[in-house]
Amino acid sequence: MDSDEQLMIRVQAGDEDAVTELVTRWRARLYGFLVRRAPDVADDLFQETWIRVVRAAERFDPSRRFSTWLFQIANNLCRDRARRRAVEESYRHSVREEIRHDAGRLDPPPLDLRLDMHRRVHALPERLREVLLLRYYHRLSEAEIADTVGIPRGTVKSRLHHAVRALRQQMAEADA
Amino acid sequence: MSANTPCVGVQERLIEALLAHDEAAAPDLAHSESCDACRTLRDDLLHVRAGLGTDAEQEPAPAMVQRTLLATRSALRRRAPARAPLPVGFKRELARLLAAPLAVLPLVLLWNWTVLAFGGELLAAWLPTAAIVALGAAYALAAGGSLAAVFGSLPVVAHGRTQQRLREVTA
Ligand SMILES: [Zn+2]
Repeated sequence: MDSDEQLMIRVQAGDEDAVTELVTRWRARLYGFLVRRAPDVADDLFQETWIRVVRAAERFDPSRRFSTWLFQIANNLCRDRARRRAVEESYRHSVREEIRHDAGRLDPPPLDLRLDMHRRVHALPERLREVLLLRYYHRLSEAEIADTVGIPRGTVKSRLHHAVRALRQQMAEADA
Repeated sequence: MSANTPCVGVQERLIEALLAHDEAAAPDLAHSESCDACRTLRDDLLHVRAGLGTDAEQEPAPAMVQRTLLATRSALRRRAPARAPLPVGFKRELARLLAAPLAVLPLVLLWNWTVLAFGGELLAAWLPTAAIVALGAAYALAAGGSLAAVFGSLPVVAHGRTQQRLREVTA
């Protein structure tokens, strides 16, 4: 079976079957990332990410890992989209206000822990959310995240810790 | 919790363990048992972990996957039928291969110039001028041709080697 990177070499040569194979292999992981990263536009960005993969195939360096490159494209699209839609504005509110707001909108109120956490992750500031998703769910190393997001490795680490502490803080405040 | 307690390190490692889906180390758990701040964090992190779950994957709707495949196929066909891109590392390999031939090139040129300049004078005693001119031209052609062959083959060799290495890296 071809590795992801070998498949990309075939995509570079215009092989349609190689694209199909990559989409099939990565669809659930990519969609899982997008749903948490940008839930309201995950469907759009799923398709957009793969089109970018094909269009930019020639710039892919097969000595790099495909997964890092794929998440980099997806994450950049999420950022662009957030910027365009000025969603950033809402992230400036305190996390607590976000949760109250969401809780008021959700009906009926009793939520299980998972759904609750899903909302809390979504309420994290974008810079914390992206590193948390890549590290925790997609198990990228700190070095790979640094590469994917384009920030120094030390920053990745501090943002990860910050994200976990923010989630903990939110839970404590919700319980209080 | 002051700077000279182990709590800062313990708490960092508890968080690292969560991020890596690992169990916390035994000494850190032991410390947490006897330290309020670290025990609270440990318990909170168990909640965070339970809430986050571990499932990274979510299946997209099959119809959307189908639409995506159609879109990527047409994007692939519409892509400029560009010439094959140079493999990554090609330029570096070519520079490496060129180094030695370029270093001796001045010597080769000097030698050829010497042969042409003094060879003609030496042969003038035995051969008519027309024959010497013809010989000189043939020599210059042969020398120029071999230089062109050497330098012209280097990009081909560099391309082959780079692709070979990429195949090894990605195999
Ligand atoms: Zn402690």
